[in-house]
Amino acid sequence: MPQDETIQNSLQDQVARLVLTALNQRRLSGLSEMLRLIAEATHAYGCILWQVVPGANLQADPPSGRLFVLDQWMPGTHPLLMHNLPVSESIVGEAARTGRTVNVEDVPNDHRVYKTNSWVSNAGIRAMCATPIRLRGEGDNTLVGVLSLYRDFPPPFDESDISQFEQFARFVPELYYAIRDRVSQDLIRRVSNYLHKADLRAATVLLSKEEIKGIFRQVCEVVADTFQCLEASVFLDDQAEGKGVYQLAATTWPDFIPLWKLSYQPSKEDGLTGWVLEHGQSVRIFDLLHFEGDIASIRSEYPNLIWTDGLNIEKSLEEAVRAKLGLNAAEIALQPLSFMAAPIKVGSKVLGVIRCCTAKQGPYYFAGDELGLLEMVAAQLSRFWNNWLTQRRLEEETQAWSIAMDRVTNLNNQVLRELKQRVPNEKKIFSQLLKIIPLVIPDTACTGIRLYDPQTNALRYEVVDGDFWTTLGRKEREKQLERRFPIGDPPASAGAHAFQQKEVYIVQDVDADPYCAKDELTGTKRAIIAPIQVGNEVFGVFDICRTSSSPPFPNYARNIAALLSQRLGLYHYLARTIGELGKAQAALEDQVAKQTQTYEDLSHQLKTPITQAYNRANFLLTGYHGAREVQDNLQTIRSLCRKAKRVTTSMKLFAALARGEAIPVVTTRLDYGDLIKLLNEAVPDNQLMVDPYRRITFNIDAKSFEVLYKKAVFVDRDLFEQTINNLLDNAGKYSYPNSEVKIHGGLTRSDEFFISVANEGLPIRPLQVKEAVERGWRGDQAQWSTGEGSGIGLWIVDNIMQALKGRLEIIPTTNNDVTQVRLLFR
Amino acid sequence: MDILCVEDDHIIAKPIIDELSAAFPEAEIKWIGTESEFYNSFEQIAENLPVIVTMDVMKLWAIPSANMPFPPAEVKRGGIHRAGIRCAIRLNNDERTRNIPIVLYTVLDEKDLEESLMKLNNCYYVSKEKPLSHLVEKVRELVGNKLAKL
Repeated sequence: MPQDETIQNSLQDQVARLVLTALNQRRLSGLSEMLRLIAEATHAYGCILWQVVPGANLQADPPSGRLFVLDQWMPGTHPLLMHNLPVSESIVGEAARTGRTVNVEDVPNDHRVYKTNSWVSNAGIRAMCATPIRLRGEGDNTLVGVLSLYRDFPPPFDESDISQFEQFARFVPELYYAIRDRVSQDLIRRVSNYLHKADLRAATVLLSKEEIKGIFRQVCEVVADTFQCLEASVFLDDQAEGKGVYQLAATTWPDFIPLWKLSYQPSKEDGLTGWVLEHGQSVRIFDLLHFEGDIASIRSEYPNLIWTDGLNIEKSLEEAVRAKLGLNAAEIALQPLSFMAAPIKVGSKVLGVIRCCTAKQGPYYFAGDELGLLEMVAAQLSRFWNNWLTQRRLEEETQAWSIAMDRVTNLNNQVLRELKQRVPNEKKIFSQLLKIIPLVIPDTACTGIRLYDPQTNALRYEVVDGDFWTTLGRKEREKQLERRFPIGDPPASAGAHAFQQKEVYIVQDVDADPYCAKDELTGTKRAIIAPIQVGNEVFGVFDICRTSSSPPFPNYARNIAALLSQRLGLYHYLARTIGELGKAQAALEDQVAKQTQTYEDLSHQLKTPITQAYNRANFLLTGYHGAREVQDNLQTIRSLCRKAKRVTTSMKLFAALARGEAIPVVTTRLDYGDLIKLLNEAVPDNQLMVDPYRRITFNIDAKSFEVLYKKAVFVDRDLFEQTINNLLDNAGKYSYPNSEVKIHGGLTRSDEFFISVANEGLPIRPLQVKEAVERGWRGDQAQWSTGEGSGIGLWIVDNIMQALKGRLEIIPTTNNDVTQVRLLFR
Repeated sequence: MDILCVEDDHIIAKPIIDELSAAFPEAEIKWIGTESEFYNSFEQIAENLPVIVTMDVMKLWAIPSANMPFPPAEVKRGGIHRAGIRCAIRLNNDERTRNIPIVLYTVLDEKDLEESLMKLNNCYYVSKEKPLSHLVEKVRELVGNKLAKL
């Protein structure tokens, strides 16, 4: 076989080996295996794949930018001593700039070789060659790469070596991408398998938070294994523990994370991870150790990105990486500390972040494809985590509703027992209901019921509950409980707002809420305020509060609050209605009892004069009596008959008024003569009923009634007589001994005719004037100082005067103990 | 004192006194009007025991006056409707007066007073709806012998 053909066969064999090796790789670091084959095939000491950094300008004069090591192969465990080369001052840079292979036969003496801090000198490299290659960039862009070979022994690379090298170099990019695609598929498949198994288990039981963290840890390990990185971590926002704080859920580098951070908030102030959380976008940093140098190009892609280094993270990270990789010698250049992070999100809602940092072997740089791959993993995690959150929320909600319904059912029974009382104890019902809240809405610090007081047009606390109230001092607690929350327009408190809107109001931040009054819900952070109502009638509001350390309320809390506040409304309505019915029933029973008592009293008042009149008449009819004795007894009999007539009329009127019937009236003109005649009969008859030992005299001022000659007054004679008799009877019963009852009349300034009965006796105070005309009213002393009477005298007079279109006026007792009662007629 | 008449209505008291005086001309008839007056006079009654007491049941505590005595809790609680029963109990409860016969002379029905009559010692009922002669006959029946000896 000719020598050329042998060489050709040998090259084909080498390429075949190269392809087979690439296709068998499962990690990105499989690239270094390819570099090893190339080095061995070309009898080189080592082989390095370089890449020009993004943003480098090779055509500028002088050219800018540098080259970094994408991957390498060196014999043994020889560490790479240098990772960066300037494009302007190196053989590798020249190959990149010119697009041609550059061969150096005498490295130590060739000035083009970059030797500053270079491992080339230290490793005793004698010859090298570098050939450019095209790497796949973002989208359709291509990136410039360089493959370089090194020999530490003669002879230098000849044309055959270089030709073979160039042949191999053409294969490198595509084979690398083949490895990457295979690795990608493998990673997604492995992550899917983990999550799928977890999904199967979660179908029957809600996985615990620790189990979930275990699954995320497995995913992190797969990701770290695939990308050959030291750190792969996941941070998640568990809304049940506090919105806005993303806690570490899993990591492959637990020793280092505590030095860095255990949690992040969505803010650019919180570093690269915070930026990802804030923007919901991925971040990829070429080399954290060159962050400040590359800041312009980084910020052109990620506006305002800050790598907060308050904790001196760069230094601690470098030290940690050196310790982890055993690169303790300071002169050994550290590999690029590449970083990438992808948001775990559903729609625009960011649930967390997955990040990778520091590849421990080549390829050191996370390319766009790697970030794409990480985003795919993030998408899988998003689905899984969101499903778990939803499942847990549903589980919590189901449990909360179950407890709520169970407790409400129990409460219904207690309420039923309470409502059987004539006047239900509403506070007891309220207190029982407040006890339910912490069982169904976790982290409830305090609850309260504020009822509407129509008299003050404000809300006031009726019942409160919860640890928060017990932490307040007695004075502070009393001060809070005594507060009133006016229902104004606009509302001056969150309670008033919910009351007026008739809808559940969520206070996310008590201190910043536009409706919260000063010191309303003080000491708490969040609140649900639900109106207590039945239909459109609102009775008050129901507060559920959390303190500042608590997370926001779960969504179902609003619905539970609405349900319980409706229950409260129903209970309040029932308790109030039953209470009012009870009171009405008691009032009715009282009224019936009083009515019965009134009839008994009237019956008694009737029996006595009839019996006595009968006895007197019988006395006169038996035996002989002197003229004076006959006269006296006849006078007494008339007096007794007048009383019987008055009581009978009172009974008739009482019955009619009790039935709600109007008093029938037949009016005729009252003239002076009729009135004087009536008074001249009525006054002595009533005086006769008064114990003569009390020496009470009745005096009629007949002249004062002469106004009736000028003023036409129309009255019902029977009803008028009844009013006169009632007033004279009262005057006789309640006058003090040795006093005078004065009866006089006249015209008022408004031309009303009046008849006045004034006596010195038991008082009617100004505040009693109104109630004195109510049915059954008797003054405190009056009820002990008369053996008869049912307290309906003035009530009947008042009703008669209304029927006569006149009015009854009581002028309260003066300092002289004189009380005046006037009948006024238009 | 031989007969004590406790009656707050002078219209009723006068014929009672007239009838009893006529029936028992040797007897002295003493009249007390109100419940408070009865309690105020109780020591006198106990010292000078009447032969019999005619007692109105519904009666006022005191006549109106500027310095009217305030009723005790028992009276406030019980009201005026059974004032005569309280006076009768007072007589029953005192060693000195417990054997004095009491005639409840009232417009109330006997059945309304059944319970009180059961509890009271030496206590009898006469309705005011009957002619006064019924009261006189009851007095005669109970203490006629004693009054005749006077």
